[in-house]
Amino acid sequence: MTRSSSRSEPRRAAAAAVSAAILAALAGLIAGLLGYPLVDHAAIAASILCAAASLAILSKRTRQPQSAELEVIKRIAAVCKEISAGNFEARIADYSEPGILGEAQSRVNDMIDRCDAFVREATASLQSVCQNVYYRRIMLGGMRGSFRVAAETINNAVKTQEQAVEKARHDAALEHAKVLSTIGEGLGNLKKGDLTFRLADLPEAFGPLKVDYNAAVSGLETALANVGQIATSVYDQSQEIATASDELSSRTERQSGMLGESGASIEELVDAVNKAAEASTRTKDIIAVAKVNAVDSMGVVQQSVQAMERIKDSSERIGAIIGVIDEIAFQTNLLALNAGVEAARAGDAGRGFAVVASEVRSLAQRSADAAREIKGLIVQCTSDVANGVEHVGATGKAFENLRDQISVIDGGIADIASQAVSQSSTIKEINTAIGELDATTQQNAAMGEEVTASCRSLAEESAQLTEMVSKFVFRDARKLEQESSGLAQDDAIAAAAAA
Amino acid sequence: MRHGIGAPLPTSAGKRFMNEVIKPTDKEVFFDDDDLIVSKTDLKGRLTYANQVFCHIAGYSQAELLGQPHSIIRHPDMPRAVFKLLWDTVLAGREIFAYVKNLTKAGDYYWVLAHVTPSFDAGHSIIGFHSNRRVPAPATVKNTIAPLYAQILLEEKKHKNGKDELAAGFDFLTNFLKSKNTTYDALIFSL
Repeated sequence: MTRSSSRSEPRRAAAAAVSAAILAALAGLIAGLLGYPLVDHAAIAASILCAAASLAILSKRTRQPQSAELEVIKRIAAVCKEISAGNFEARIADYSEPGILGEAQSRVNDMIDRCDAFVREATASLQSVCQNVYYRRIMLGGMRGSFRVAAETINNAVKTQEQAVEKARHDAALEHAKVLSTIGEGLGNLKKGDLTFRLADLPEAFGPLKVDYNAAVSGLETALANVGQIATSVYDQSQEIATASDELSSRTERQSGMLGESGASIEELVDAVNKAAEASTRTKDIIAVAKVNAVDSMGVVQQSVQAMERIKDSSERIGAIIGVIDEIAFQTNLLALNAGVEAARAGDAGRGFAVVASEVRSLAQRSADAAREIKGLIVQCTSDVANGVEHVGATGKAFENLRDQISVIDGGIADIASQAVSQSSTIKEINTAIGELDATTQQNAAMGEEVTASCRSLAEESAQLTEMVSKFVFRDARKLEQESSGLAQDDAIAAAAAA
Repeated sequence: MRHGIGAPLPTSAGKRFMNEVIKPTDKEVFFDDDDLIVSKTDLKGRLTYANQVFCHIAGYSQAELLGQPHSIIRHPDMPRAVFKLLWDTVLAGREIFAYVKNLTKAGDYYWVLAHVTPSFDAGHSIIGFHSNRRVPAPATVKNTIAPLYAQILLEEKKHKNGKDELAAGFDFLTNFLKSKNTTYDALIFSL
């Protein structure tokens, strides 16, 4: 729109003044809205007043404004009103007036375009900043004068902000790196098994992390120290148990052997007792026979006594008969004497008779002698029979005693037999018990071996545990305990002091 | 720019104005570093405003431009994928910066760094689009943008079907950004 107009200079000057004033007013308004005190509100008001005055001059100078000019002024007024209301969509879109009227409208549009561009750019740039995007700067192309100053100021502000954010990021990254390195060092030591290492100071935000980490490692150190101590103790004790268990095992073996031997002895004892029981049974039978024999013998003795009595009676009757024979002998002798006397008187005729009488008298004498001899024998016999009866009675008594004693023996043998049976069963029980004892002993021996094996493996495992624990570096458990109680005391003192 | 609303993009190399095919020339024209090419379109991409700089460099009068689709100045060297990205972005309510090679009425060309933003009403509904175009850094255009666009265009031309053409170019652009491990916005602002 550079074509020159045929209108007068004052009018062109006035039109330029209108445009400049409106432009200044808008610039001030936009800058004010965005917070850049390029122009204060008084200046804006002054600019608007100036614009109005210039328009009035424009009107006055023409005195009789033509309808085209009036139309243009109306359009400019309308679009200015929209712009004042913040509607940057407004433009004088379709105009065809030549000369200054066209230029004025073009200038107004250009002014709005530049204001609009500034608003869009500034808004977009700052919206990006709101979303932490800093590369979206205001495009400076087309930004002149105060627009450029404002745009550059905003860009500088965004740049400063970006640098501050970048610095904060950088610092945070450095801090993170430091924290990571410190924690990495801690973890590295932990990986190597060094439990004596503690985290150095971390930035304040990571204080709780440091405290927790160090507390965790302390806990681990204490735990491992205790585990190490206990593992050593378990190793020692399991060795002792293994030794004791070995001894127990070998003693149990010996005990088992002895029990085996005892079992064999008891078997022999059972045999002996059984044989004794059998012997006593046999003895009992024999004794029963003996008892019968004794009783039988007592009957024989009784019969003997009776026979003796009958012998005594017969002897007495023989004595009586002998007396008769002795009487007869006496009488015979007497008769023989009388016959001799008669024969002597009868002289020779009697001589033969006298001889017979003498022979008879001799026979009578011999009979009397024989009778005396028999009488003596009978007396002797009677006395002997009496003796025999007495002896037989004593024998009967002896047999009675024998019978009674046999009964006692029988009872004793029965007792022996029954005791032998009882002993046998008792011994069997003992044998069973010994058998069980032997089994138990063998189980004990086996268990002893298992215990020994378990102890050996326990010892091995505790040795392994000790070895594993020894890969960690930690302080002595007692020392740690003292330290922690010391710390607790310190805490208590500190707490007391704080209170 | 009506194609941004879903209509197919024009694929013909020749641009028509008033039934006359504009034949592209190799002549580059320029505008002042200090100037802004400003235009507004309605939701369908029809121009509702074009400032003097726009009229002057494109060689059209305001009357010739108003109501026309923005694609009136579309240069056949521009890949379709760039416009797709542009429209996808502004229709999503976001701003976009894009290097664009434009065609003048005389067939000459001029490079711009276009900043396209949606315009909202009080209810935050998009009521149109606004574009400010600035002079791009010639070195950036020469060394980076022009070769990149040529490559994308090459990919697009491998396909006859308009849909495939667009997809191929867009994929190429997406993969290019992925290979640079950057976003489109970050790339543009880094140039």
